[in-house]
Amino acid sequence: MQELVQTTINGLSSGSIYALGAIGLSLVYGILKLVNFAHGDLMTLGGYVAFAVNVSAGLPLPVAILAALAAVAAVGLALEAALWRPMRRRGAGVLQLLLISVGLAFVIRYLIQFGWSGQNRLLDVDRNQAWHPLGLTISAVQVIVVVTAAVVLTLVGAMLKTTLVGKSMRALADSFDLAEVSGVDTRRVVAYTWLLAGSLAGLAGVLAAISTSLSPSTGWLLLLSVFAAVVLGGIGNAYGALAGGLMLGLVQEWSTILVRPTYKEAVGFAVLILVLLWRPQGVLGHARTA
Amino acid sequence: MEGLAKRFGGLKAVDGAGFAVRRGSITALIGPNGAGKTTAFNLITGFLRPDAGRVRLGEEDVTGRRPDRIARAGMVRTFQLTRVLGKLKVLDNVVLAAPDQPGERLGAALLRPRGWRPRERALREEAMALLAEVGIADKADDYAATLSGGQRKLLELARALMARPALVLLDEPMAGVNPTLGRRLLAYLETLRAERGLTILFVEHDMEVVMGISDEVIVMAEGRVIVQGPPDLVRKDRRVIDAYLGAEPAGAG
Amino acid sequence: MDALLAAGFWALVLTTAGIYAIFVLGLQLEVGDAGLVNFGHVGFFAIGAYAAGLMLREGVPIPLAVLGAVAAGAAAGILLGLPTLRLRADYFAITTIAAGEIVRIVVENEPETTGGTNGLRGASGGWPDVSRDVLDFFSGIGLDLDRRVPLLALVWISAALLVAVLAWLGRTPWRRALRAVREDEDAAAAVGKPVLVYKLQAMALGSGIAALAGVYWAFLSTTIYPENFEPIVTFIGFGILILGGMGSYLGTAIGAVVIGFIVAGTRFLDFPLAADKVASLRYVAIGLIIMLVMIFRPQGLLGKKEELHLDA
Repeated sequence: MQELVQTTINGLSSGSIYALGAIGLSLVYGILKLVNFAHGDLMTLGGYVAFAVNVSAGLPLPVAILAALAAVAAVGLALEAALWRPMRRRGAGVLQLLLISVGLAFVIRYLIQFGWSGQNRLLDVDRNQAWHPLGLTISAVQVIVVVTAAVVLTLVGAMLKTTLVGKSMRALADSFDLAEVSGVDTRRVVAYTWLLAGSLAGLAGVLAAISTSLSPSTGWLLLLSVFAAVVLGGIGNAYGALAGGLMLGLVQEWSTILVRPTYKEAVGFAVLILVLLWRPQGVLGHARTA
Repeated sequence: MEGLAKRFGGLKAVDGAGFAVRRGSITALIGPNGAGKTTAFNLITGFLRPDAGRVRLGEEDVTGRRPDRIARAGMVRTFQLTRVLGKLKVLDNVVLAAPDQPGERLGAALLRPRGWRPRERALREEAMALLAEVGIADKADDYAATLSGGQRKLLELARALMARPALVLLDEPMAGVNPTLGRRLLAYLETLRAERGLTILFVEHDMEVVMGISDEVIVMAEGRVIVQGPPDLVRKDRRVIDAYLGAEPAGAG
Repeated sequence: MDALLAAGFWALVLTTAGIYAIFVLGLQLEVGDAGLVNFGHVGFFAIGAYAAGLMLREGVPIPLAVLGAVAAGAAAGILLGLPTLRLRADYFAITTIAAGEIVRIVVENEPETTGGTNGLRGASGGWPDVSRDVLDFFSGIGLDLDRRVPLLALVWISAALLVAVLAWLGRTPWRRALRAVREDEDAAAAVGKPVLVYKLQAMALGSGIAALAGVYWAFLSTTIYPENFEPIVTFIGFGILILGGMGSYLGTAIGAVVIGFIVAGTRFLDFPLAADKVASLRYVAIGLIIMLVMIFRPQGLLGKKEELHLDA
């Protein structure tokens, strides 16, 4: 029982990070038909910006987090203006955009490695502080991750549901043409989407860096799990991505009760494959004729 | 003469519909838009699974089989919105449909060229003849993507016939085809029926065509079959007139 | 710059390039001919390498081990394809990459069988002896070859044979049916083509070919590690495919040499930068190549525009 609670705590922690990454990825795919393989490296970028602000410049962690959000959001918007929008205007198809993002992923990751070297970096956070209620271990780091993520995810969830921008985003993700025809200002919504996706990715990167450590591959290594979360929840469905991320994190951690911890990612992927076999459109996705 | 039969229920678009198509007949399936005709085609040829009901080809029950297996069993269809293979040449589109090219199997393709090369030559000739019959032989070497809408219909027809079906289901075969050519095609289909015993089931909106050539007419409306019989009886049937007046006003006879 | 003149340097670069070329030929069949975006291709590369490595360590004769490894790869391709080929393209892509990672993680975590992260030693089995025999033969007739040449020859001769077979296959009705399936499954099914069979055959061939590349990798590296089989390898493969051009075998060969040079060759050249900085720039370069080609010339160096089905 205790193991179950402990792994649930661990699962919520890692699942939150997946969820933060997955929402942005899912919306970008749903609205812009871009399977963004560079998303993980945007997360890494967030981590390194936080590192630069927090460790190199010595500023407090909350400042670093805000800086990371802002920086990655800015990069996301810049890429949209310089790369994605022109390519879309040229009629680039899904596969073409995907492959461009693969190249971009390489470029971002290895430029980061060029600048900061491949060495593992740590943010200025007390890794050792923990509480032990009822024989469990809850580290301060986990608390930071879960609380921050919970606050942000709740706000994002509310935004998507209640604000005009949020509703427009969901409408566009569901059907771009239909939404456009009903008078949604698509350019503005697209910009907001990148703003959101970029910030969430940046945040996910920082939290990942806090959780473990930071290396140029941090985001890339998380990317596949983030994709899995997106697919589990149904591509284009932001709430699905959120649920998918948490689900995946929990499943991975719960599996450590039965198998060796080093296998947990493999378990997550196996679950993904099994879920898709049962429900080819994802748990919360609708059967779309793509 | 008893022959082929189709009975199927299920799906909201088609609700408890059923009809029989006599072997060797030319049967028209008509009805206002949304009557469920294309859905019926999809159910018959395996592109949709019926929720209830059965589809029989002769003695065989083919309900729920995969579309390629139904095609190989002898029921080949064309599509209302044409689906030609644009990146293949027109001739290749037709040759592709031949049911007996051993070179299409991987082992034979790699290891026994003598098994399929001569066959390929024969099939190309046969395909050219078909293209000539439907009137687009001059396009044989072009990529199918370059064809006009009407030409694509003709290509699909040639392709379907190449598959040597026992029963061919044509979904609006004359749409976009000029009337002279259309008449020629109908004559060609009649000769195929006479020579090969080909059974033809087609969906068509042009009533002149329907009444002129069909042995039997099936009328669907709102997912059901409302009348089945020879053209003269059907055109005078009250229910048919009502069904059409409720939808299209155009030429219901 | 002396390295550029050394025969050994080029032998290594070209052998690596040849292995990549074979890897990409398998990818080309899956992606180009069958339209299956298999992002897990490296998984079959791994299966080929480890299957061969394990068999060769047990003393299985080389030809048998090669056949066994290729068969293992092909079987794995079918196993993966059976449940997943009906998924839509983007889900299929994610699923295949997940499957490839499962393979790598399992290999990493079963050190008793595979050596885990410490690597599988002796994965080339009796090959070094065969190689030495070939070298002795040639020095016997007066030709002193670099010790890496036999493998180089084996790899490129295999690649050439493979291209010959694939080109031959490319002119058969089988390939026409496969292309029809790729372009429009429903239309192909309507004329009686068994869609799933063709896709599975493409998967089996493609993964068998990747496994062959894996076997040669085992010959080259002698000790193989799970980190040699990360997803990045599949993406480098895509880079080669994109650069050389879909539908062109010569393009694949050229692309493989270019990328092989960047990946393997730049290690031995002197740059006015620290080694780890060069390592990073190496991959920045590959990323830029992929981006620039996809943006400005998606058909690659030698590809044909009709082979591009990028409007999907």
